[in-house]
Amino acid sequence: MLMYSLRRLLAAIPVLLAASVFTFLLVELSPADPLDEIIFQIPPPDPETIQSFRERLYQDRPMWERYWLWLTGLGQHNGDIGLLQGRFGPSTSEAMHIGTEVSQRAIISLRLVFGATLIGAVLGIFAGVVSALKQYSKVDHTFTSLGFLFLAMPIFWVAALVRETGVRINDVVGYRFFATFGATSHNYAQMSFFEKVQDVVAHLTLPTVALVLSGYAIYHRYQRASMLEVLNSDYVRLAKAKGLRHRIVMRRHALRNALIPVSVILTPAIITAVGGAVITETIFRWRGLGVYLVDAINNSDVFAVMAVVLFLGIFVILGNLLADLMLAVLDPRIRYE
Amino acid sequence: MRIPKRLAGLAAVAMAGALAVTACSPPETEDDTTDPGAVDLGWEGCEDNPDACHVGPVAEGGEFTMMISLPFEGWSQLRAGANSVYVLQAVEGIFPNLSRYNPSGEFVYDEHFYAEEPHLVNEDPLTISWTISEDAVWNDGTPITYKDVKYIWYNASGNEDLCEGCEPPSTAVWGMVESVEGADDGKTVTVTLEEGANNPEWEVVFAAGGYPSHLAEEEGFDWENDPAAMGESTVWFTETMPTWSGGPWIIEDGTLTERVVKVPNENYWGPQPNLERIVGEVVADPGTWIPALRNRDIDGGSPATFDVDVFRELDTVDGIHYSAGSAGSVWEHIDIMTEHEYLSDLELRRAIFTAIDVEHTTTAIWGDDVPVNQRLNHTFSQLSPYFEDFRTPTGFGSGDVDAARAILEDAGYTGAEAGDTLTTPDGDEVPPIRFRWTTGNTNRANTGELVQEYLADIGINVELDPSDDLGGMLVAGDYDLVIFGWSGSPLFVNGLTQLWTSPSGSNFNRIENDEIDALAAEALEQLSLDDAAVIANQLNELLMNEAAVLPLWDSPAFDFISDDFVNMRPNHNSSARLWYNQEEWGVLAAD
Repeated sequence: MLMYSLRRLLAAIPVLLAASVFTFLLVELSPADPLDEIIFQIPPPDPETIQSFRERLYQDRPMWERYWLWLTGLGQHNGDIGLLQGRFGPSTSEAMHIGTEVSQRAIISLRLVFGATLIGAVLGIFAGVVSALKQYSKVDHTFTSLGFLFLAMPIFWVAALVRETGVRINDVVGYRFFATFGATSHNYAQMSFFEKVQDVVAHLTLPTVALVLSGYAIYHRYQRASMLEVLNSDYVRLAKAKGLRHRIVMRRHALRNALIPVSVILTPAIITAVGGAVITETIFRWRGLGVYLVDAINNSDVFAVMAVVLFLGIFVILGNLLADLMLAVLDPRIRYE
Repeated sequence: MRIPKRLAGLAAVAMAGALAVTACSPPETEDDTTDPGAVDLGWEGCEDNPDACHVGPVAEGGEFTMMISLPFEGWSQLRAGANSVYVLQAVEGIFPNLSRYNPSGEFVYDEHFYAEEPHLVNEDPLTISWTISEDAVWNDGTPITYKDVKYIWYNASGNEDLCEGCEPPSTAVWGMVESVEGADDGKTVTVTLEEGANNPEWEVVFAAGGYPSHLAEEEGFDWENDPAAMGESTVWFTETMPTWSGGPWIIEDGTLTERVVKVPNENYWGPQPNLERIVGEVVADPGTWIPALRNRDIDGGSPATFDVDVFRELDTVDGIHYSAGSAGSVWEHIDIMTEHEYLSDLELRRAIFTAIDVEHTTTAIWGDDVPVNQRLNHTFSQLSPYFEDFRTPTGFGSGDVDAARAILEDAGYTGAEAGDTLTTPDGDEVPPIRFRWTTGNTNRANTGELVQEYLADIGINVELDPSDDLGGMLVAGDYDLVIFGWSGSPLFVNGLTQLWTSPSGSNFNRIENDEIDALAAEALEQLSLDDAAVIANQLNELLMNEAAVLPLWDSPAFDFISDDFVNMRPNHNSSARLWYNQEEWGVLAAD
């Protein structure tokens, strides 16, 4: 398994490189110019200032050289670029350092993503099991309809609806239970422990609910299908025929096996949730990777976009690897050579 | 509609050229108003009394959360890369109060900062002097002196011998300075311009309060003697959240692009602010503004962008008041590329501008509930004391199709009819004209469609062609007709040269007129704004007759605040807008 993991990781390198080239070309070939921000200031900066800005962003180099510099840092003069040397390149926002921003914001985003995924998984699995056990019942139809509904609704719309609902609840109750933007309040550092928990919950609830609703549907559908398949299998019938109690059959024989395929989608679901978080963060103005990516694209901040894409690429590759390994652990029939 | 950040940033204009110049007059509390019992809630009274409306009894303390409509990407405006109106809003109040334009347009100095106000010492070379109050100190007790002004000069001088690696937003003002000297323990500042240099706006633009240069020294930057260290110190100021202050507020906490928290600077020598805390929250998505306001996550906003839908939705929010208005901080215009094979003909340009109906376009885009001022002068809005209407006499923007056809017929054109194709006196058919705008800007797209209709009436076929790269398009001259925005401000002299003269890189429609060039230069030679304004209007008349730029309207901006607060007034003469007097803000007392 170790060799398999190493092989997978080595194979990921060209994938990441290809992704970086593709992203670089996409951003570079877009017509927006990172220098627009200063060229159109009134009064306009001196040509020397614009040139200095251009050089700082390596815009005075040909496109292929900029990519080479971003990757290796060989031939650079400012000591701020070269992925292989641990430098992510200069940002158009001079006061912000890309590496620091990505690492800080990743924690914020992942907090949201993991929380939402976990809750979504628990809810989805529970509803999936109930749906399977009560196939074609009103409960099954309700859970299934809700699943399809949430699956069909785009995440930006779900997030906006959830936000609106939160605001209305606050209105009715006359107390600000839910915050509509930011991960914490401005005076978070001065709060007591209890107040901090309250504040985090107030800020976390609405975006988490938005992501949970989207994620729930996937788990529900998978779990229902998987559970039905297991319930109709011979070994479950045998267990029932042996006279085992229903609860034991369901828990030990059915649910345990039905969870294996669902566990495999956990990682892809997290990855999907990261995509959803980009939009959710923007709507709830969480200072996470999503907002950073959107701002970077708006500012034509090439190296910042590259850093986020690289981070997400590594996240996806490691996630997929983890999913494969987890499957091997859960299902003894699977062996990686 | 969203005004691109760079254009919104233009609103800072010359007034924000020196950040420190942005300033406020002494706070006005319940106790020191001329009429302590005065109560004027809401903003209805601001029309007649813009500088003293929205007043009422102020309770002690309180917190106000103000929306910042796009991320601020630095902690100072020393460097072009971080220069934006959002940075200005974030750090507003931590610089010494020097002077300001009030909502009425009146310019006032702060009596607490100056022991002696800026005055002319010599006309040639132009020498300006002022004396800083003995009480004026940074929050650590260090006196504010000429060295702090000298720091500003070094940064914006454009001189590599003074600052290496500086990337100032502009060198137009401080680039003409020969020396900054101090006397009386540094409290008297004397700024001398280079031989032959002049600036009629000297009363405003040179009277800077400066940056805390002593902090740069404490950080190890020998900025006075080492140009490279000077440059590095500007990066330090841009990257480091200020924990210093020379104004009524000091930053308690903050995160770039997200939030800034300001509390009163206890060592401020002027009157203390009323509020206990001001929080600036970045809420970039216009769709989030109203929910955030209804949820009281924010108490008010003064966005640099105008979204008609959001403005109308404000009506559904209880407990707030809001208004829209404009004084030319950003104004829209349609430009013609004068080097175009056919549009180089002045008569054709005149006919095009005459056929365009600006009044109809304004109503179609903004409706009747948003007050929008027509732009009738390239430099001065209708609210400026120097305003003269040069557009109406030309008939431009009138939508008078008959007049447009008459112009064309007199010039020998034929086919100036709907359904026909305009033909030049030489018998060539005028090819389709490209109308361009920034992709995603709905108002400009709608304007394009209307222009298409107007010009069809005189036989001109307009093709709509949005662009993702406004900057590149303008610099390359890759358009026939284009709509975009320019900024205006109470300061105007430098803009004449930058926008309209032949050699300027910002003269995007390639106007070449020796008289305009000469007038722009002459305006710079004046010693008073009044004299410069007279010349500016001569230039504006010539410019209008060039029929290269059709001024449309002053882009409206809107402000909204909770009813729980007082002493907050829309100020369209300041790039800080509603923020211009934040030390005066207060919670409305219960009784």
